[in-house]
Amino acid sequence: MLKAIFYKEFIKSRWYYLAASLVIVCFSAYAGLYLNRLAELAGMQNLWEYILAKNDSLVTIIKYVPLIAGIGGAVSQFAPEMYRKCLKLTLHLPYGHIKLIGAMLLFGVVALVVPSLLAILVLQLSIINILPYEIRIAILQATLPWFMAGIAGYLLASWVVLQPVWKKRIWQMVLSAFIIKIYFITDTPIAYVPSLWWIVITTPALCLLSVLSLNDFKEGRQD
Amino acid sequence: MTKISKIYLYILVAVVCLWQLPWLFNFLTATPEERPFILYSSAIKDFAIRKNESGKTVYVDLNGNTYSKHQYDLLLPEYFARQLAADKSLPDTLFGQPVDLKLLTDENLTLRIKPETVFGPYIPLFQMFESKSGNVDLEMPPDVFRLDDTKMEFINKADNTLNAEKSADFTNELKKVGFEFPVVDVAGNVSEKKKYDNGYLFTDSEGCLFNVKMEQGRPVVRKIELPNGVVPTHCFVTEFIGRHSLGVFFDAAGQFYVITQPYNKIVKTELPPVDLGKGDFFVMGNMFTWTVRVTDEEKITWYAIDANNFSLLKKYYIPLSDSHLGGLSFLKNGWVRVNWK
Repeated sequence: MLKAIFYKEFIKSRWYYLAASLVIVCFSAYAGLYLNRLAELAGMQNLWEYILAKNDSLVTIIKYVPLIAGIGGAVSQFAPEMYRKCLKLTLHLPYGHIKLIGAMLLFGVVALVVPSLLAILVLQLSIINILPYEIRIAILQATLPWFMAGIAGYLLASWVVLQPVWKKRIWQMVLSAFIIKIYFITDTPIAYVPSLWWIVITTPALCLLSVLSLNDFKEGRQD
Repeated sequence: MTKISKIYLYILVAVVCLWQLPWLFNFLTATPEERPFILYSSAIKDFAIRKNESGKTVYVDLNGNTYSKHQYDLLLPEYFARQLAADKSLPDTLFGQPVDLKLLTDENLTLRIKPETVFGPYIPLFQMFESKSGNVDLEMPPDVFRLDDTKMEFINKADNTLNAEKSADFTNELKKVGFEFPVVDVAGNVSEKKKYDNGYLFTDSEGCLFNVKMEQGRPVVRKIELPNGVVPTHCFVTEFIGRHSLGVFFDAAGQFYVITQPYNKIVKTELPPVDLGKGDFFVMGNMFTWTVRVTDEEKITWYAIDANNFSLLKKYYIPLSDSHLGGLSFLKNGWVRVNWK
Protein backbone atom coordinates (compact mmCIF):
# COMPACT_ATOMS: atom_id res chain seq x y z
CA MET A 1 0.00 0.00 0.00
CA LEU A 2 2.86 2.35 0.84
CA LYS A 3 4.17 1.86 -2.69
CA ALA A 4 0.71 2.61 -4.11
CA ILE A 5 0.39 5.81 -2.07
CA PHE A 6 3.84 6.90 -3.16
CA TYR A 7 2.85 6.20 -6.77
CA LYS A 8 -0.38 8.20 -6.34
CA GLU A 9 1.57 11.14 -4.93
CA PHE A 10 4.15 10.79 -7.69
CA ILE A 11 1.50 10.93 -10.42
CA LYS A 12 -0.14 13.93 -8.78
CA SER A 13 2.87 16.10 -8.08
CA ARG A 14 5.72 14.80 -10.23
CA TRP A 15 5.89 17.85 -12.49
CA TYR A 16 5.80 20.23 -9.57
CA TYR A 17 8.57 18.44 -7.70
CA LEU A 18 10.64 18.12 -10.87
CA ALA A 19 10.37 21.86 -11.47
CA ALA A 20 11.00 22.66 -7.79
CA SER A 21 14.04 20.39 -7.71
CA LEU A 22 15.43 22.08 -10.81
CA VAL A 23 14.89 25.51 -9.27
CA ILE A 24 16.53 24.51 -5.95
CA VAL A 25 19.56 22.97 -7.67
CA CYS A 26 19.83 25.82 -10.21
CA PHE A 27 19.77 28.49 -7.50
CA SER A 28 22.44 26.58 -5.62
CA ALA A 29 24.52 26.22 -8.78
CA TYR A 30 24.07 29.93 -9.42
CA ALA A 31 25.28 30.74 -5.89
CA GLY A 32 28.36 28.60 -6.56
CA LEU A 33 28.89 30.24 -9.93
CA TYR A 34 28.47 33.68 -8.33
CA LEU A 35 31.24 32.92 -5.81
CA ASN A 36 33.46 31.60 -8.63
CA ARG A 37 32.87 34.71 -10.73
CA LEU A 38 33.61 36.91 -7.71
CA ALA A 39 36.85 35.01 -7.17
CA GLU A 40 37.74 35.53 -10.82
CA LEU A 41 36.72 39.18 -11.12
CA ALA A 42 37.53 40.57 -7.66
CA GLY A 43 40.27 38.06 -6.87
CA MET A 44 40.25 35.22 -4.39
CA GLN A 45 42.15 37.35 -1.90
CA ASN A 46 39.39 39.97 -1.82
CA LEU A 47 36.70 37.29 -1.68
CA TRP A 48 38.27 35.61 1.36
CA GLU A 49 38.86 38.91 3.09
CA TYR A 50 35.28 40.01 2.51
CA ILE A 51 33.81 36.76 3.86
CA LEU A 52 36.09 36.77 6.92
CA ALA A 53 35.67 40.47 7.69
CA LYS A 54 31.91 40.64 7.19
CA ASN A 55 31.11 37.10 8.35
CA ASP A 56 28.95 36.86 5.24
CA SER A 57 28.30 33.59 3.40
CA LEU A 58 27.51 35.44 0.13
CA VAL A 59 24.98 32.77 -0.84
CA THR A 60 21.83 34.40 0.53
CA ILE A 61 20.27 34.18 -2.94
CA ILE A 62 19.16 30.64 -2.07
CA LYS A 63 17.77 31.66 1.33
CA TYR A 64 14.02 31.48 0.63
CA VAL A 65 14.07 29.07 -2.33
CA PRO A 66 13.69 25.82 -0.30
CA LEU A 67 10.92 27.44 1.79
CA ILE A 68 8.94 28.50 -1.28
CA ALA A 69 9.52 25.06 -2.85
CA GLY A 70 8.30 23.38 0.34
CA ILE A 71 5.13 25.45 0.60
CA GLY A 72 4.47 24.87 -3.11
CA GLY A 73 4.98 21.13 -2.58
CA ALA A 74 2.29 21.00 0.10
CA VAL A 75 -0.12 22.98 -2.07
CA SER A 76 0.56 20.78 -5.11
CA GLN A 77 -0.02 17.60 -3.10
CA PHE A 78 -2.93 18.53 -0.87
CA ALA A 79 -4.82 21.42 -2.49
CA PRO A 80 -6.19 19.19 -5.33
CA GLU A 81 -7.23 16.58 -2.72
CA MET A 82 -9.11 19.21 -0.75
CA TYR A 83 -10.53 21.08 -3.72
CA ARG A 84 -11.79 17.97 -5.55
CA LYS A 85 -12.74 16.32 -2.24
CA CYS A 86 -10.57 13.33 -3.17
CA LEU A 87 -9.16 13.15 0.34
CA LYS A 88 -12.41 11.58 1.46
CA LEU A 89 -11.90 8.81 -1.10
CA THR A 90 -8.25 8.44 -0.15
CA LEU A 91 -9.26 7.95 3.48
CA HIS A 92 -11.42 5.03 2.39
CA LEU A 93 -8.36 3.10 1.30
CA PRO A 94 -7.71 0.02 3.46
CA TYR A 95 -4.81 1.66 5.29
CA GLY A 96 -4.67 3.42 8.66
CA HIS A 97 -5.38 7.13 8.39
CA ILE A 98 -2.27 8.11 10.29
CA LYS A 99 -0.15 5.80 8.14
CA LEU A 100 -1.84 7.19 5.05
CA ILE A 101 -1.16 10.84 5.83
CA GLY A 102 2.30 9.86 7.06
CA ALA A 103 3.08 8.20 3.73
CA MET A 104 1.83 11.21 1.78
CA LEU A 105 3.96 13.57 3.89
CA LEU A 106 6.95 11.24 3.66
CA PHE A 107 6.74 11.39 -0.11
CA GLY A 108 6.83 15.19 -0.02
CA VAL A 109 9.67 15.29 2.49
CA VAL A 110 11.75 12.88 0.40
CA ALA A 111 10.93 14.89 -2.72
CA LEU A 112 12.38 17.96 -0.99
CA VAL A 113 15.30 16.33 0.83
CA VAL A 114 16.75 14.77 -2.34
CA PRO A 115 17.10 18.04 -4.32
CA SER A 116 18.22 19.82 -1.13
CA LEU A 117 21.07 17.35 -0.67
CA LEU A 118 21.90 17.63 -4.35
CA ALA A 119 21.88 21.43 -4.08
CA ILE A 120 24.21 21.32 -1.07
CA LEU A 121 26.52 18.96 -2.96
CA VAL A 122 26.51 21.18 -6.08
CA LEU A 123 27.30 24.28 -4.04
CA GLN A 124 30.05 22.61 -2.01
CA LEU A 125 31.68 21.06 -5.11
CA SER A 126 31.56 24.34 -7.01
CA ILE A 127 33.52 26.19 -4.31
CA ILE A 128 35.95 23.44 -3.34
CA ASN A 129 38.83 25.02 -5.30
CA ILE A 130 38.29 28.64 -4.39
CA LEU A 131 37.54 28.56 -0.66
CA PRO A 132 39.28 26.88 2.26
CA TYR A 133 37.62 24.17 4.31
CA GLU A 134 36.60 26.50 7.17
CA ILE A 135 34.69 28.87 4.87
CA ARG A 136 33.08 25.97 2.98
CA ILE A 137 31.86 24.50 6.28
CA ALA A 138 30.61 27.94 7.36
CA ILE A 139 28.64 28.24 4.11
CA LEU A 140 27.20 24.75 4.65
CA GLN A 141 26.19 25.68 8.20
CA ALA A 142 24.62 28.93 6.94
CA THR A 143 22.52 27.13 4.32
CA LEU A 144 21.38 24.16 6.44
CA PRO A 145 18.66 26.12 8.35
CA TRP A 146 17.32 27.39 5.00
CA PHE A 147 16.99 23.85 3.65
CA MET A 148 15.41 22.76 6.94
CA ALA A 149 13.00 25.70 6.52
CA GLY A 150 11.95 24.06 3.24
CA ILE A 151 10.92 20.91 5.12
CA ALA A 152 9.25 22.97 7.87
CA GLY A 153 7.44 25.08 5.27
CA TYR A 154 6.19 21.93 3.57
CA LEU A 155 4.92 20.31 6.81
CA LEU A 156 3.32 23.52 8.11
CA ALA A 157 1.71 24.30 4.74
CA SER A 158 0.35 20.71 4.67
CA TRP A 159 -1.16 21.31 8.11
CA VAL A 160 -2.81 24.51 6.84
CA VAL A 161 -4.02 23.13 3.49
CA LEU A 162 -5.46 19.97 5.07
CA GLN A 163 -7.41 22.04 7.58
CA PRO A 164 -11.03 22.25 6.36
CA VAL A 165 -12.05 25.14 8.66
CA TRP A 166 -10.99 28.54 7.33
CA LYS A 167 -10.96 30.26 10.72
CA LYS A 168 -8.52 27.64 12.00
CA ARG A 169 -6.50 27.93 8.80
CA ILE A 170 -5.87 31.61 9.48
CA TRP A 171 -4.47 31.17 12.97
CA GLN A 172 -2.48 28.16 11.76
CA MET A 173 -0.94 30.39 9.09
CA VAL A 174 -0.03 33.00 11.69
CA LEU A 175 1.56 30.40 13.98
CA SER A 176 3.37 28.86 11.01
CA ALA A 177 4.80 32.25 10.03
CA PHE A 178 6.31 32.67 13.50
CA ILE A 179 7.72 29.13 13.48
CA ILE A 180 9.29 29.74 10.05
CA LYS A 181 10.86 32.94 11.41
CA ILE A 182 13.05 30.79 13.69
CA TYR A 183 14.87 29.43 10.61
CA PHE A 184 15.78 32.95 9.42
CA ILE A 185 16.91 34.68 12.61
CA THR A 186 20.36 35.51 11.27
CA ASP A 187 22.39 35.00 8.10
CA THR A 188 25.68 34.82 9.99
CA PRO A 189 27.48 31.62 8.98
CA ILE A 190 27.87 29.09 11.81
CA ALA A 191 25.49 31.05 14.07
CA TYR A 192 23.02 28.14 13.96
CA VAL A 193 25.60 25.53 15.04
CA PRO A 194 24.39 25.27 18.69
CA SER A 195 20.78 24.95 17.49
CA LEU A 196 21.10 22.58 14.54
CA TRP A 197 20.47 19.50 16.68
CA TRP A 198 17.09 20.68 17.97
CA ILE A 199 16.11 22.05 14.57
CA VAL A 200 16.83 18.63 13.06
CA ILE A 201 14.71 16.97 15.78
CA THR A 202 11.78 19.38 15.90
CA THR A 203 11.37 19.99 12.15
CA PRO A 204 10.28 16.43 11.17
CA ALA A 205 8.01 16.41 14.25
CA LEU A 206 5.93 19.15 12.57
CA CYS A 207 4.28 16.33 10.58
CA LEU A 208 2.32 15.57 13.77
CA LEU A 209 0.28 18.73 13.19
CA SER A 210 -1.30 17.37 10.02
CA VAL A 211 -2.94 14.66 12.13
CA LEU A 212 -5.00 17.39 13.83
CA SER A 213 -6.17 18.83 10.49
CA LEU A 214 -6.99 15.32 9.32
CA ASN A 215 -9.10 14.77 12.46
CA ASP A 216 -11.08 17.95 11.71
CA PHE A 217 -11.57 16.74 8.15
CA LYS A 218 -12.70 13.27 9.23
CA GLU A 219 -15.16 14.78 11.67
CA GLY A 220 -16.64 16.79 8.82
CA ARG A 221 -15.88 20.21 10.36
CA GLN A 222 -16.29 22.98 7.82
CA ASP A 223 -17.24 26.65 7.74
CA MET B 1 -1.28 10.04 18.06
CA THR B 2 -3.85 12.85 18.27
CA LYS B 3 -2.85 13.43 21.90
CA ILE B 4 0.85 13.66 21.01
CA SER B 5 0.01 16.00 18.12
CA LYS B 6 -2.00 18.24 20.43
CA ILE B 7 0.79 18.34 23.02
CA TYR B 8 3.28 19.28 20.29
CA LEU B 9 0.95 22.01 19.06
CA TYR B 10 0.55 23.42 22.58
CA ILE B 11 4.33 23.42 23.01
CA LEU B 12 4.73 25.34 19.74
CA VAL B 13 2.04 27.85 20.75
CA ALA B 14 3.69 28.31 24.16
CA VAL B 15 7.13 28.84 22.58
CA VAL B 16 5.79 31.42 20.11
CA CYS B 17 3.85 33.24 22.86
CA LEU B 18 6.81 33.31 25.27
CA TRP B 19 8.97 34.60 22.44
CA GLN B 20 6.76 37.11 20.65
CA LEU B 21 4.47 38.54 23.36
CA PRO B 22 7.26 39.88 25.64
CA TRP B 23 9.00 41.21 22.53
CA LEU B 24 5.80 43.02 21.48
CA PHE B 25 5.31 44.41 25.01
CA ASN B 26 8.92 45.65 25.16
CA PHE B 27 8.65 47.09 21.65
CA LEU B 28 5.47 49.03 22.47
CA THR B 29 6.51 50.23 25.92
CA ALA B 30 10.15 51.13 25.21
CA THR B 31 10.98 54.68 26.22
CA PRO B 32 14.15 56.68 25.49
CA GLU B 33 16.61 56.31 28.33
CA GLU B 34 19.04 59.06 29.26
CA ARG B 35 22.56 57.73 29.12
CA PRO B 36 25.04 60.44 30.07
CA PHE B 37 28.50 60.68 28.54
CA ILE B 38 30.95 60.50 31.40
CA LEU B 39 34.74 60.88 31.48
CA TYR B 40 37.08 61.22 34.42
CA SER B 41 38.66 64.63 34.71
CA SER B 42 42.11 64.71 36.29
CA ALA B 43 41.69 68.47 36.70
CA ILE B 44 38.85 68.19 39.24
CA LYS B 45 39.52 64.59 40.27
CA ASP B 46 35.90 63.83 39.54
CA PHE B 47 33.73 62.56 36.72
CA ALA B 48 32.75 65.23 34.17
CA ILE B 49 29.27 64.55 32.87
CA ARG B 50 27.61 65.64 29.64
CA LYS B 51 23.91 64.92 29.60
CA ASN B 52 20.64 65.99 28.11
CA GLU B 53 18.08 67.78 30.24
CA SER B 54 14.82 68.90 28.64
CA GLY B 55 16.41 68.90 25.21
CA LYS B 56 19.38 70.97 26.37
CA THR B 57 22.94 69.70 26.79
CA VAL B 58 24.29 70.37 30.28
CA TYR B 59 27.78 69.84 31.68
CA VAL B 60 28.09 68.94 35.36
CA ASP B 61 30.25 66.98 37.78
CA LEU B 62 29.23 64.60 40.54
CA ASN B 63 29.27 67.43 43.11
CA GLY B 64 26.57 69.26 41.20
CA ASN B 65 28.80 71.99 39.76
CA THR B 66 27.63 73.22 36.36
CA TYR B 67 30.02 74.13 33.55
CA SER B 68 29.84 75.85 30.19
CA LYS B 69 30.91 73.92 27.07
CA HIS B 70 34.30 75.68 27.09
CA GLN B 71 34.81 74.97 30.79
CA TYR B 72 33.89 71.34 30.17
CA ASP B 73 36.53 71.16 27.41
CA LEU B 74 39.06 72.60 29.86
CA LEU B 75 38.15 69.91 32.40
CA LEU B 76 39.10 67.29 29.83
CA PRO B 77 41.94 68.85 27.83
CA GLU B 78 43.33 65.41 26.93
CA TYR B 79 40.16 64.52 25.01
CA PHE B 80 39.22 67.95 23.65
CA ALA B 81 42.74 69.08 22.76
CA ARG B 82 41.80 69.86 19.16
CA GLN B 83 38.94 72.13 20.22
CA LEU B 84 41.13 73.85 22.83
CA ALA B 85 43.90 74.30 20.26
CA ALA B 86 41.37 75.88 17.89
CA ASP B 87 40.24 78.15 20.75
CA LYS B 88 43.91 78.93 21.47
CA SER B 89 43.40 77.78 25.05
CA LEU B 90 45.31 74.50 25.04
CA PRO B 91 47.61 74.48 28.10
CA ASP B 92 51.29 73.83 27.45
CA THR B 93 51.68 71.77 30.61
CA LEU B 94 49.32 69.36 32.32
CA PHE B 95 50.04 68.23 35.87
CA GLY B 96 53.63 69.37 35.50
CA GLN B 97 54.16 67.58 32.20
CA PRO B 98 54.78 69.55 29.00
CA VAL B 99 52.14 68.70 26.41
CA ASP B 100 51.15 69.68 22.91
CA LEU B 101 48.29 68.79 20.58
CA LYS B 102 50.11 65.86 18.96
CA LEU B 103 51.17 64.30 22.24
CA LEU B 104 47.70 64.55 23.73
CA THR B 105 45.89 63.13 20.69
CA ASP B 106 48.48 60.37 20.21
CA GLU B 107 48.11 59.24 23.81
CA ASN B 108 44.32 58.92 23.59
CA LEU B 109 42.93 55.43 23.26
CA THR B 110 39.62 53.65 22.98
CA LEU B 111 38.85 49.97 23.42
CA ARG B 112 35.38 48.50 23.06
CA ILE B 113 34.65 44.88 23.89
CA LYS B 114 31.13 43.65 23.14
CA PRO B 115 29.78 40.26 24.27
CA GLU B 116 29.38 39.16 20.64
CA THR B 117 33.05 40.05 19.97
CA VAL B 118 34.13 37.69 22.74
CA PHE B 119 31.55 34.95 22.52
CA GLY B 120 30.06 35.40 19.02
CA PRO B 121 30.45 33.13 16.00
CA TYR B 122 33.42 33.56 13.72
CA ILE B 123 35.14 31.57 11.00
CA PRO B 124 38.36 30.17 12.55
CA LEU B 125 40.77 31.63 10.00
CA PHE B 126 43.09 34.48 10.96
CA GLN B 127 45.37 36.87 9.10
CA MET B 128 48.94 37.61 10.14
CA PHE B 129 50.19 41.04 9.12
CA GLU B 130 53.81 41.82 8.34
CA SER B 131 54.81 43.87 11.41
CA LYS B 132 58.12 45.15 10.09
CA SER B 133 57.64 45.75 6.39
CA GLY B 134 59.32 49.13 6.41
CA ASN B 135 56.20 50.65 4.84
CA VAL B 136 54.14 53.19 6.75
CA ASP B 137 50.85 51.57 5.82
CA LEU B 138 49.96 47.99 6.55
CA GLU B 139 48.89 45.70 3.74
CA MET B 140 46.42 42.84 3.94
CA PRO B 141 48.42 39.60 4.10
CA PRO B 142 48.38 37.25 1.09
CA ASP B 143 47.43 34.29 3.27
CA VAL B 144 45.31 33.21 6.20
CA PHE B 145 46.27 30.86 8.99
CA ARG B 146 44.46 28.16 10.92
CA LEU B 147 45.40 26.49 14.17
CA ASP B 148 44.64 22.85 14.72
CA ASP B 149 45.58 20.46 17.51
CA THR B 150 49.21 20.14 16.48
CA LYS B 151 50.21 22.92 14.12
CA MET B 152 49.74 26.36 12.60
CA GLU B 153 48.97 26.31 8.88
CA PHE B 154 49.12 29.13 6.33
CA ILE B 155 46.91 28.94 3.23
CA ASN B 156 47.56 31.17 0.24
CA LYS B 157 44.54 33.28 -0.63
CA ALA B 158 45.49 33.46 -4.31
CA ASP B 159 45.20 29.74 -5.04
CA ASN B 160 43.85 28.09 -1.86
CA THR B 161 47.04 26.07 -1.37
CA LEU B 162 48.98 25.32 1.76
CA ASN B 163 52.19 27.27 2.34
CA ALA B 164 54.04 24.35 3.86
CA GLU B 165 57.32 26.17 4.49
CA LYS B 166 55.76 29.11 6.35
CA SER B 167 53.48 26.75 8.27
CA ALA B 168 56.47 24.69 9.42
CA ASP B 169 58.44 27.84 10.35
CA PHE B 170 55.70 29.18 12.59
CA THR B 171 54.84 25.80 14.11
CA ASN B 172 58.50 25.11 14.92
CA GLU B 173 59.02 28.58 16.35
CA LEU B 174 55.97 28.20 18.57
CA LYS B 175 57.15 24.82 19.82
CA LYS B 176 60.66 26.18 20.36
CA VAL B 177 59.45 28.73 22.90
CA GLY B 178 57.34 26.15 24.72
CA PHE B 179 53.91 26.61 23.14
CA GLU B 180 51.73 23.57 23.81
CA PHE B 181 49.11 22.88 21.15
CA PRO B 182 46.12 23.14 20.87
CA VAL B 183 45.56 26.87 21.13
CA VAL B 184 42.82 27.92 23.56
CA ASP B 185 42.40 31.60 22.74
CA VAL B 186 43.48 33.65 19.72
CA ALA B 187 43.32 37.44 19.71
CA GLY B 188 44.32 39.94 17.06
CA ASN B 189 43.03 42.87 15.07
CA VAL B 190 42.47 42.36 11.36
CA SER B 191 42.52 45.80 9.77
CA GLU B 192 45.02 47.39 7.45
CA LYS B 193 43.85 50.76 8.79
CA LYS B 194 45.56 50.28 12.16
CA LYS B 195 48.69 52.33 12.71
CA TYR B 196 51.01 49.41 13.40
CA ASP B 197 50.80 45.71 14.10
CA ASN B 198 51.25 43.98 17.44
CA GLY B 199 50.52 40.54 15.99
CA TYR B 200 48.48 38.02 17.91
CA LEU B 201 48.09 36.84 21.48
CA PHE B 202 47.78 33.05 21.77
CA THR B 203 46.87 31.21 24.94
CA ASP B 204 48.06 27.61 24.82
CA SER B 205 46.58 24.47 26.36
CA GLU B 206 48.56 25.05 29.56
CA GLY B 207 47.27 28.59 30.02
CA CYS B 208 50.52 30.26 28.95
CA LEU B 209 50.41 33.49 26.95
CA PHE B 210 52.40 34.14 23.77
CA ASN B 211 52.81 37.09 21.45
CA VAL B 212 53.10 35.87 17.84
CA LYS B 213 54.18 38.23 15.08
CA MET B 214 55.66 38.13 11.63
CA GLU B 215 58.68 40.35 11.02
CA GLN B 216 60.26 40.41 7.56
CA GLY B 217 58.41 37.20 6.75
CA ARG B 218 59.88 35.36 9.75
CA PRO B 219 57.97 34.21 12.83
CA VAL B 220 58.63 36.07 16.06
CA VAL B 221 57.17 34.35 19.12
CA ARG B 222 57.59 35.66 22.65
CA LYS B 223 56.34 33.98 25.77
CA ILE B 224 54.79 36.49 28.15
CA GLU B 225 55.57 35.77 31.77
CA LEU B 226 52.37 35.65 33.79
CA PRO B 227 52.09 36.23 37.53
CA ASN B 228 51.63 33.03 39.55
CA GLY B 229 48.18 31.53 39.19
CA VAL B 230 47.00 33.94 36.47
CA VAL B 231 45.45 32.25 33.43
CA PRO B 232 44.16 34.51 30.65
CA THR B 233 40.78 33.51 29.26
CA HIS B 234 39.89 36.42 26.96
CA CYS B 235 42.77 38.37 25.38
CA PHE B 236 42.66 41.50 23.23
CA VAL B 237 45.56 42.99 21.30
CA THR B 238 45.82 46.76 21.62
CA GLU B 239 47.40 48.84 18.90
CA PHE B 240 47.11 52.28 20.48
CA ILE B 241 49.22 55.01 18.94
CA GLY B 242 50.95 55.64 22.27
CA ARG B 243 52.37 52.06 22.21
CA HIS B 244 52.23 51.71 25.99
CA SER B 245 50.55 48.32 25.89
CA LEU B 246 50.65 45.12 23.89
CA GLY B 247 47.18 44.05 24.92
CA VAL B 248 44.77 43.44 27.73
CA PHE B 249 43.19 40.29 29.07
CA PHE B 250 40.65 38.98 31.53
CA ASP B 251 41.14 35.89 33.66
CA ALA B 252 38.44 33.32 34.46
CA ALA B 253 37.20 35.43 37.38
CA GLY B 254 36.83 38.48 35.11
CA GLN B 255 39.81 40.32 36.54
CA PHE B 256 41.20 42.87 34.06
CA TYR B 257 44.95 42.95 33.30
CA VAL B 258 47.09 45.14 31.03
CA ILE B 259 50.21 43.88 29.24
CA THR B 260 52.37 46.97 29.36
CA GLN B 261 55.19 47.72 26.95
CA PRO B 262 58.09 47.80 26.32
CA TYR B 263 58.76 44.84 28.65
CA ASN B 264 55.43 42.97 28.38
CA LYS B 265 54.89 43.35 32.12
CA ILE B 266 51.51 42.20 33.36
CA VAL B 267 49.73 44.73 35.56
CA LYS B 268 46.57 43.78 37.40
CA THR B 269 44.12 46.66 37.39
CA GLU B 270 42.05 47.51 40.44
CA LEU B 271 38.80 47.10 38.52
CA PRO B 272 36.43 44.65 40.19
CA PRO B 273 35.81 41.44 38.17
CA VAL B 274 33.80 42.00 35.00
CA ASP B 275 31.41 39.56 33.30
CA LEU B 276 32.04 40.18 29.59
CA GLY B 277 28.97 38.16 28.63
CA LYS B 278 26.60 40.63 30.28
CA GLY B 279 27.29 43.81 28.35
CA ASP B 280 29.71 46.29 26.80
CA PHE B 281 33.15 46.98 28.23
CA PHE B 282 34.37 50.33 26.97
CA VAL B 283 37.62 52.13 27.73
CA MET B 284 38.44 55.70 26.82
CA GLY B 285 41.85 56.70 28.02
CA ASN B 286 44.49 59.39 27.90
CA MET B 287 48.06 59.74 29.12
CA PHE B 288 46.94 60.21 32.73
CA THR B 289 43.77 58.22 33.32
CA TRP B 290 41.48 55.68 31.75
CA THR B 291 37.70 55.89 32.09
CA VAL B 292 36.21 52.40 31.94
CA ARG B 293 32.49 52.00 31.35
CA VAL B 294 30.98 48.62 32.20
CA THR B 295 27.37 47.98 31.19
CA ASP B 296 25.23 45.10 32.38
CA GLU B 297 21.47 44.46 32.60
CA GLU B 298 21.04 46.40 35.85
CA LYS B 299 23.44 49.33 35.70
CA ILE B 300 26.15 51.27 33.95
CA THR B 301 29.30 51.71 36.03
CA TRP B 302 32.14 54.09 35.31
CA TYR B 303 35.57 53.49 36.81
CA ALA B 304 38.47 55.91 36.66
CA ILE B 305 41.87 54.21 36.76
CA ASP B 306 45.36 55.63 36.77
CA ALA B 307 46.99 55.13 33.34
CA ASN B 308 50.38 54.38 34.90
CA ASN B 309 49.74 51.95 37.74
CA PHE B 310 46.07 51.08 36.96
CA SER B 311 44.92 51.79 40.50
CA LEU B 312 41.26 52.68 40.99
CA LEU B 313 40.67 56.41 41.39
CA LYS B 314 36.90 56.73 41.44
CA LYS B 315 33.71 54.81 40.72
CA TYR B 316 30.19 55.92 39.78
CA TYR B 317 27.13 54.07 38.56
CA ILE B 318 23.59 54.69 37.42
CA PRO B 319 20.91 52.00 37.63
CA LEU B 320 19.06 51.07 34.46
CA SER B 321 15.28 50.86 34.46
CA ASP B 322 14.03 47.30 34.73
CA SER B 323 10.80 47.75 32.75
CA HIS B 324 12.05 45.10 30.32
CA LEU B 325 9.74 42.08 30.29
CA GLY B 326 11.66 38.83 30.18
CA GLY B 327 10.90 36.37 27.42
CA LEU B 328 12.25 33.62 25.24
CA SER B 329 14.94 34.64 22.79
CA PHE B 330 16.64 32.75 19.99
CA LEU B 331 19.68 34.96 19.67
CA LYS B 332 22.48 35.29 22.20
CA ASN B 333 25.81 36.94 21.47
CA GLY B 334 25.33 36.32 17.76
CA TRP B 335 24.53 32.61 18.19
CA VAL B 336 21.10 31.16 17.54
CA ARG B 337 20.30 29.40 20.79
CA VAL B 338 17.30 29.30 23.07
CA ASN B 339 17.73 31.55 26.08
CA TRP B 340 15.67 33.60 28.52
CA LYS B 341 16.26 37.30 28.11
